[in-house]
Amino acid sequence: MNTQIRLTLRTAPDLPVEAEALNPENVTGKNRAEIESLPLLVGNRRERVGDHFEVDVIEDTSTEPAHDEDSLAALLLVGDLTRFKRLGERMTAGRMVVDGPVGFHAGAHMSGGSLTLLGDAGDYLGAHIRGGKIEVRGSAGHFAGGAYRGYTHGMNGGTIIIHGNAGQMAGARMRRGLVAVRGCCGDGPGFGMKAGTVLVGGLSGVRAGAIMSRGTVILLTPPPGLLPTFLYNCTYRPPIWPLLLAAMAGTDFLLPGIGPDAMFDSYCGDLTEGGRGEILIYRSGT
Amino acid sequence: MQVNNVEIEDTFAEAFSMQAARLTVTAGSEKWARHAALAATGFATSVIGCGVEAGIEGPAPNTPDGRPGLDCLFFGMSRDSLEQHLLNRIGQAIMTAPTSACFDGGLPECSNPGTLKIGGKIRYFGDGYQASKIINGRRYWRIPVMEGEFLIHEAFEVSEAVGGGNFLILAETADAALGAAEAAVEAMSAVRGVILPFPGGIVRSGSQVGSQYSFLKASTNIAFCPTLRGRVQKTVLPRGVNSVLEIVIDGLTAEKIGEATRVGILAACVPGVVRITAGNYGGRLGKYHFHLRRLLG
Repeated sequence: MNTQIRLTLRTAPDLPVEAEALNPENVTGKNRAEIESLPLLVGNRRERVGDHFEVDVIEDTSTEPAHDEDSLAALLLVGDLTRFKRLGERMTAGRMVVDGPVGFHAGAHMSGGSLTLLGDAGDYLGAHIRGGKIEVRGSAGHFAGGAYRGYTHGMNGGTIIIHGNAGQMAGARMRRGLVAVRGCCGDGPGFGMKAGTVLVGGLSGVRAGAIMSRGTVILLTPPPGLLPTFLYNCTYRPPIWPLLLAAMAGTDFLLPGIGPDAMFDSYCGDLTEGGRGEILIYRSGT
Repeated sequence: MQVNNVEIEDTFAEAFSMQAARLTVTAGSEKWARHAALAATGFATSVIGCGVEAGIEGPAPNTPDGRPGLDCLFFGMSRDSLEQHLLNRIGQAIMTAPTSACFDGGLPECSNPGTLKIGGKIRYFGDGYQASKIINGRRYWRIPVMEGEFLIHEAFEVSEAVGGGNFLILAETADAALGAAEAAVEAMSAVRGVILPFPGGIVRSGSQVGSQYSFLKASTNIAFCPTLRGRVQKTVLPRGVNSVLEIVIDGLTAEKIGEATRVGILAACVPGVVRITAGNYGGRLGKYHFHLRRLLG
């Protein structure tokens, strides 16, 4: 079906809102009244979606075939949702779009579907995701694609594309998947990685790849320096690079002038963890 | 039935089940992709003597890394045999070629293909320094080599396929036979999903099962040898035929072999060709029969 559910925020609440009920699975097949009665935790009070959102259910009467991923309704949220946490949490399928900024934990524990955020996202965007795709047209906070405190590993699959900047610890403790940041990021991208790929287009902070045991951190802008536990290997064209570019095709992420033939300086590390991880730094002018 | 004054014999080609895989070989240039592909598909004319039958199918329409690439098809008698030959050929002929990479070309023509863990075994060449990367749900192995890095898919699709489709061109002269066969090969090269495993796609020394020598499983096909026409009672050569060439076809599906046979025969029906026929075992051995007249409609 191509049904679209549109939730428009009336006024931004003063208290934080736990909004994990808002995902495509929970709204599919429901009428307007049923969607309005979905729960929100506003501060310490149970309230309803209908108390804060205008709900519109737009049934698609066209004869166009439904998108493959969408036996579920597409969910669109509009408004300043900065205080709304856990939007799209644990999504397994479907499409969700938020036209406005969102709070913490957006898309956390996702395993399928697509979440598109047209504004900024708070901390822990896509924490522990296992599949699906998250795309942020704005910037993200700290721990994008990262792991919660106390966990030895974080994201285990899926793709997170951030067109703006990201905070610290992007991709911390990831063990599979791709986190791509077009802008700058804070300290520690790829901290404690076990596998997967973190890509940063702009300037990154210090300690990239700290205590990584495997995986790849790709820095398209040379950082001021690397940890001393990373050693230079060589300068070459990694065969995996064109495949990573192809995987991001269609997201408008590609940086101009960096094509599939790009050369990278390769560093192995973190030597404190065996040195099987790598940092690739783009060599401009090649 | 006649096509352009060439007799089409009322007979059929008898073909067999085989196991097939498609490799997409890419490199920094078409030149090096071709070097790698030619080396990997060389000496692979017949499973009897070579263990595998292989050929270059054509340019790869899409390559995972966007570089020039060639699709190659490999046919073996069993999954185990095919796997071993792929390991040998990728390891010795593709990985050794500068700038090469090897990807699973997929088998969309086949229903329910299985998989062989090819890259997952080649990876050990990395001596523990290999690394994997999962992109879009597929695992790739990055194997450190002197030149840089060799990239290969972990798993390759494998499927039941068809081997041994054939037709024979009976001509007035050797030149006429060769000209007709070359025209057939050129026409058949446009059919995807098939390969012609013999040199240039053509067999000059077709064989018969068995021999008067106990140590030989196959020998020259005396019924089709023009220099034996007077001595061999079972000769099938009509008057005026002085040379015979055969084209052997392996394909992913029977439909593909049928199509290749059809376009090949049509292209081979040129002046100087007397008859087109095919080889079979009385229909008692092979699962697939390709009736020439039915294919030509």
